[in-house]
Amino acid sequence: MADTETKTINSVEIDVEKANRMLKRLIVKETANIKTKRYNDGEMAKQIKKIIEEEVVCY
Amino acid sequence: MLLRNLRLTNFRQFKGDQPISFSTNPDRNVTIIMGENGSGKTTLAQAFTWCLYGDTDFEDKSMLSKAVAQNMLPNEEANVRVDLDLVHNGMEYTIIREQRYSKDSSGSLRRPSQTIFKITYKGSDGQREFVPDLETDLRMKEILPRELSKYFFFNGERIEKMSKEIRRGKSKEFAEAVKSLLGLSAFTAALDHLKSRSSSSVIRSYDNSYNAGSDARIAQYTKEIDDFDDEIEAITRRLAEIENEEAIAQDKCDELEEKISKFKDSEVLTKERERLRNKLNGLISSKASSTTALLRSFNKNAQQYFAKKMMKDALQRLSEADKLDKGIPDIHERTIKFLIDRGFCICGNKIVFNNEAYKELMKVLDYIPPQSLGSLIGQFVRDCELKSKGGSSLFEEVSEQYRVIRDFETDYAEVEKNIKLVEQRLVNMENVGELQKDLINYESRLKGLKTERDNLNKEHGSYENKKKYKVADRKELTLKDETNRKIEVYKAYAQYMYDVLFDDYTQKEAETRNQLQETVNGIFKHIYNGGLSLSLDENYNVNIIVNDFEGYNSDVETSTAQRISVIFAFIAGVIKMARDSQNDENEMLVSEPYPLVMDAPLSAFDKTRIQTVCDTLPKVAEQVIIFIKDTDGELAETYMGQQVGARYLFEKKNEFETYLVTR
Repeated sequence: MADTETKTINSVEIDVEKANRMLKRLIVKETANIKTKRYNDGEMAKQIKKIIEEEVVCY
Repeated sequence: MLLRNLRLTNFRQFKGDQPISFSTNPDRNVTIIMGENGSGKTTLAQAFTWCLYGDTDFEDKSMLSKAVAQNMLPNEEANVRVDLDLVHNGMEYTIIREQRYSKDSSGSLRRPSQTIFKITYKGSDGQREFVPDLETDLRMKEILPRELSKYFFFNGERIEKMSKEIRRGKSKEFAEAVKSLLGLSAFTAALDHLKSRSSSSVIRSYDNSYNAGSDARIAQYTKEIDDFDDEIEAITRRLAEIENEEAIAQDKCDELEEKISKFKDSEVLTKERERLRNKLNGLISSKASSTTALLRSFNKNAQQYFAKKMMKDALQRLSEADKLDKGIPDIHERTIKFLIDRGFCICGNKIVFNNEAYKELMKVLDYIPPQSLGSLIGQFVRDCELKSKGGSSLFEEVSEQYRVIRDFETDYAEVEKNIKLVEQRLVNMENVGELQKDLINYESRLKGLKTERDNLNKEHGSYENKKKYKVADRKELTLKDETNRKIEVYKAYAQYMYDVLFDDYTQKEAETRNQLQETVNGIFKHIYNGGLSLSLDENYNVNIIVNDFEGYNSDVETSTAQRISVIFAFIAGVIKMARDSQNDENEMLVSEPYPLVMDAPLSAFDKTRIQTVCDTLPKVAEQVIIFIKDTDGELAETYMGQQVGARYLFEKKNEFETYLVTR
């Protein structure tokens, strides 16, 4: 496994590259939603959770 | 946001259905609606705020056209409605507000119904859809927050109030609204979705999804952490309220101090009024006593005074009294009676009753004392001398007293005039004592708020600590369970994203604020040529700085022209930034151009500034809609002629009816 940059958040080690990938997806979703208003706040939170869980699983 | 059409139905003096279309042509983005005073300019401007927020500045809150109301029969109904078509974020909206009015059986207007507020939009399939009723207020807030609306729906007659608002005391909501206009709302939305008090936020929902089956304490700790969060949130809310209350109390203190300093003259004036009133009373009693003295002198000496001439003439005549006096010097009645009783005269002649000697002696009795004419004359002369002495001072005495009485009229009028002048100056002044009392109250309120804030901050810290320990305890338990371990991992990623976004947001917000400050200053310098510049604090309050005095960076008092220039510069700056950030490459800055709807915007400017403003506005704003009186309107058309895309006129039929006609 290639060396990955990690960071410890709340005693949990996270993969920074993976985290940044999630962040990009989140930004795209949020900016799109500001314009379209497709999802309400609860739905957006669910979308973000989905992004996190997908990326974490994708090891 | 671009405004397309406005349709008024029975709204105030706009009877029936009256549509108006605004220019949306980017090259001719100005719509001018001209009208004489009282024709309905302000009403039309207020139609926007009524439609969007359900409120107006009118004292008469009835929106129904008086002409319609007059013609309504008993039990008849009529609707007032305003529809506004606009485009926001590429979506076509129609904002509708409607209110039903009805008359009772006696023909009186009933209290109107609550307004009905609807927002429709054109869906991706081209079909009109309604925003759910529960979401209309939220959607309106997204389209144009009320806190900011007054800057986009600008009323030239509210300059003083706006100037104060723009410079200090703006709410946190205002700062948030500006940030949203500047395109930072995607950041705030993302931060909120990741971590907020809402149970649906990512981190909160993970907190609530631990598998409590592995250890009962997890649920207990989560509950305790939730309770701490509730306490922390309540404290945070109260701290925000305290900040607002402090700002209000501080404003009041400043206002009172200003009044006290302005009205400190009232104390001096009150004393002066008291002194003048005493003087007036003194004059009145002085007049009364002078009148009494005059009458007394007159009664006492007038006779002598007016007899003086006669006495003088008489004395002149009597100066020859010796010729009239046939008496014998030093002979008295007693001498004659002695001689008669003796029976012979000094000359030796016998004196017998009725003889010649006797008769001669009896004649003498008529001329000698006590019945001597000379004596009487002497007595008269002495009396005259005495009386003329008494009357000699009458003229001086009466003159002096009359002078006092005559002067009284002049002095009285003068003092009375001065009292009136003092009272006029006192009319608009407030009692300094009362103001002082209020000031003490507000200062003590400020002290109380500061103490409360200090205590709350301590409590806040204490809850944060307790929460931290509890979170650590819970983590210890959750890491023992596979499902919960996963949740901890998800939370860690969410927290990472939150931290990165928060740092990014803080940096972007500061950059955006600085950029706004530069933009506002650029516009301000264009509108107002003077040695002043503007700075924005973290709450987006505008401070005016004097450039020419190095080191002097306090806010300064400004003239009306400066104040209105500041307002224009701020509004135009925000609008320009909002418009420009659309083209920003940064994906997280999402913004929207905004129109400027202005009621009598130029009334406070001189010709030069009107030209500058007319030159600036169409360039910075995506759309400009101006309601203007004919004289200013002609100037505006001269300066903005090339940019005017639509022209309307308020045609006033009578006090209750105005019609919008194209020019």
